[in-house]
This record gives sequence, C-alpha cells and structure tokens, in this order.
Amino acid sequence: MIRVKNVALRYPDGPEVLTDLDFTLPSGSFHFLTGRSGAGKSTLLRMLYLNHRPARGRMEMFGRDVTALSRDELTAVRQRIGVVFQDFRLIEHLTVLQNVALPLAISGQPESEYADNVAELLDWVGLGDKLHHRPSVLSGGEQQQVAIARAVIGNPQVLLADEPTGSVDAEIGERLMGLLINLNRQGTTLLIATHDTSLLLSHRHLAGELQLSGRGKLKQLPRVAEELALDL
Amino acid sequence: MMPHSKILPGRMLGARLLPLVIAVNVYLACLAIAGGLALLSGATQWSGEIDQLVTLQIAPGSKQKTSEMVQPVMEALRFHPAVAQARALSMDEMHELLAPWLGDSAAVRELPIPHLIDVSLKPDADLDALRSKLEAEFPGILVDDHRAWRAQMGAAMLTTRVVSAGVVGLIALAAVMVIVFATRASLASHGELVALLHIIGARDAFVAGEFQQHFLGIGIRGALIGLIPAALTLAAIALALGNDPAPWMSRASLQPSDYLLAALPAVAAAVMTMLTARITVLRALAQMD
Repeated sequence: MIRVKNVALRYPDGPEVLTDLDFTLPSGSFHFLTGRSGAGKSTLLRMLYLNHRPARGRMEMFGRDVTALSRDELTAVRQRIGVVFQDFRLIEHLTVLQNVALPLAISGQPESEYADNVAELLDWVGLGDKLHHRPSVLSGGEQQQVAIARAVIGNPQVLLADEPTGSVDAEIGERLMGLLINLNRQGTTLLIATHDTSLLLSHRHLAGELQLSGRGKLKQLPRVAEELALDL
Repeated sequence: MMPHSKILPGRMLGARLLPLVIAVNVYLACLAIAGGLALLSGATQWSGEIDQLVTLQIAPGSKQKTSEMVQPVMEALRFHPAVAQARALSMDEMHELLAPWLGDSAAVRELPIPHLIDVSLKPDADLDALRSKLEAEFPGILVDDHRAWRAQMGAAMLTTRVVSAGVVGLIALAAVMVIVFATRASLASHGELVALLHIIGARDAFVAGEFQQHFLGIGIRGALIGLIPAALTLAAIALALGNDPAPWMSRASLQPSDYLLAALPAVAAAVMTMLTARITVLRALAQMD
C-alpha cells in the first residue's frame, strides 16, 4: 500500500510544484494519474519511485515512512517498484535482452537463471526475434515494449508507468495494457500516468483516478464501478 | 580477457588516455624502484666487502724507514688469529692510487708516502685487539677500519631509500589524483545511467562495483603498457653495464628478486586504480540524495 499524507514536493531552491497531496493506493489497486501537460504527473511519479524526496509530509510505502529511510533502505523499497519511463531510458550499449534483464542482474541473479524468462517475456511482447538488437534500431513502439518488459520482469509489487502506451499503435497498446492489467490482477499495485482519454475511458471501469489540477493539487476519484455503486 | 563492467559502456570518458597516464606512472615508478634497488645493492655489497677490510698505514717520519717496517708488520699479521689475509701494496700500486690526484711524475715518485697493507679479517674478528697489538708493537702505525667512509655510505644508503620511496610515493599520489579526477568525470558523464540504476534498485555498492570493474580493466591495461617498456629499459641498461662494467656499476646490479620488486608498481597500479575508483564512486554516491 502507498499512503501519501500532506505531502508537498519542490525542486531545490524552487517553489512547491505539488502541494497538500493526500491519497492512498491500496495494495493491488489500479489507478490512472491524469492531468494536463505540465500538471506534475511525471513529477509525482518521480516522488513515488523515490527519485525525489517530499519537501514535507509523510509518504508510506509497504508500511514504512520512506521520508525517513536511509539510502540502503530506500534501495530495498525501490527493488519492489517497477517503473516505465515516458522516455523509455533504455541503455543504448546494451542489447534488448540485457536491458530487460537489468533489474535481475542488479539483484544478483545469475544470467543462467533468468535468461529463459527474459527471452520468453520478450517473445510474448513480440520482440522474440530482436533479443540481441540495440535499442537504437528499434521503433519507438518497440522501445516502449522493451521498457515495459524491463519494468515487469522482476514481478514488482508496485508498477508506476508514465504514458506506457504513448508511442505504440492501438493494437500493441491494448496488448501492453492487457499485460499491465494482468499483472494488476495478480496483485501488483498499478498507477498509470496518461493524458490519453481513450485509454482512460476504455479502462475506467477497472481503475480509480488521481486527478492533478493545474495548481499542483490532487483529487482522488474512485473507479467508475464504485461511483455507480455509490449512486445506487 | 580484461575485466570490464557489464553495464557501463566500454568507451567511457578517459578510457583511452587514462591507461597511458597510468602507464607513464608505472614506467617511472618501476625505474625509480629499480634504480634505488641497484644503488642499494651496490652500496650494500661494497659496504659488506669493506666491513671485513682494514688498511694499515705505515706513515713516513718515524725513525725507522717505512719500507723496513713492512716486513715485521706482515710477520705480526701472518699469525694473528683475526687476520685471514694480508697484502702489502707495492710502490707502483700506491702511486697508481695517487695518480688521479697528483699525476705520475718523477717528482711525485720522490714524495714520502705511507706504505699501505690491506688486511682481510676473519668473520667475528676482534679488531680492537688487533689494533692494540699493532699500535703497541709498531708505534705510528695507523689502523683504518674505514669507519668514516662507512658512516657516509650508511647516510647515502638511507638518503637513497628515502628519495626512492619519496619519488615512488609522489608518482603514486599523482596517479591517485588523476584516477580520482577521471572517476568523478566518468561518474558525472554517466549521471543519467547511474540514476537509472538507482531507480531500478541498484545499491551504491553495485554501482561502485561496475565502476571498479571498468577501472580495473583500465588499470591492468595501463600497468602492462608501462611495465613492458620499463622491462625493456632495465634490460637495455643491464646489457650496457654487462658489456663494459665500471667497478661500482658492476656492484650496482639487480638480483632476480629485485626485478620482481621493480615490477610491483604494475600490480599496485592496477589494484590502486580499482580501489581508488571504488572509493571515489562510493563517496560521490553517498553525497547524492
């Protein structure tokens, strides 16, 4: 579970870009993070994947206040989080296989143990024939698929995705969303930042919404099914 | 096969120049150590030979002719328990010793000079007893155990040691500073990659380990590049000295174990490069938030 209470976020020597954030993401929940461009979606995600410390407030992840953790303890928390970056952040000099296997290599697993799983996952997302390609020779959509594969390969408890279908066509987008939803059904907490209204509408029955206003405030909306139940 | 990082790019900042800088440092350190060892070896050998030698001077001016005193002194030495061997220098040999300073003219040959007797002592010989006996029996005789010369030699050996160690220390310090600079530059130029590794869950030790692997490869390359010309240089010097050795040069030679010591900077450079990179990265990461 992620619980954020009275949190504000600011860049060094800058004003607060997000203020009075209050929301809870229960374990296994699925939320969209929405808002206009520049509203702070990526900034909020950065805070959630522990790249920025909150300026004030309390943020709990997996039952621990992460604002008070040491570097090593933060690393242990990060190992339970998968991140899909909007700009993919693939490592250019590594192959597709090596990029996807990175979280497993970092955790110290020997290559012989994970090589087959990584290849299988890449095959599933449709990149089975490009295991040894460099990211630069892939299309934007394919790079996004690799980025998603890297984020999910370690079976994270929380998956934070920044526009995960932004660079792929509708068919692959649906396929990738299917993968993410499947992970969510297996218990992974899922937060997807998007400004794609069609994606939001087509999955709104499955997901709650964190809506960022232009003033750095956030409103938490329940999923549509829950809203309907409340209306009844 | 060179060790390398699995994640950092092979061609990082400084990957081409740093091995050359390390190579130059290894080359200089190898030569400094070899030079210091050769000088120490020569000095030690010379000093060891001198330790067992005394020179007797039968000075002119005594009532008896100096040449007449040589024989009785030699007789006294022959049966003395401290003496292994004694040899009186001929007048020609003594003039040969003076020639570099005074020349070898007829006038010089007329000068009254002391007769010299080289005495080799037995191991653990009692020099004081020998000195007392000779001075009692032959008044005016001078027993020179080369104490002043040995004291100077000892001071020179100490100075050589200190200077060699200082030179090697300065070379190591310069190398460490260059490696620290290169590591920091490399860390800065790969800030995004390091940030990504952290977000994915890499510990500082893992990131430091990657840099350590990369710089170990650089260190080994630099060590080898520096060691090979150093070995060739030492071989060339040994060859040159072997062809025409001056007396002091023949003593100032390296033993096989000295060559191993002289090669130590290469091993030290590789290890030092690796450790310096690791420590630099760990420190830099600890300051990040």
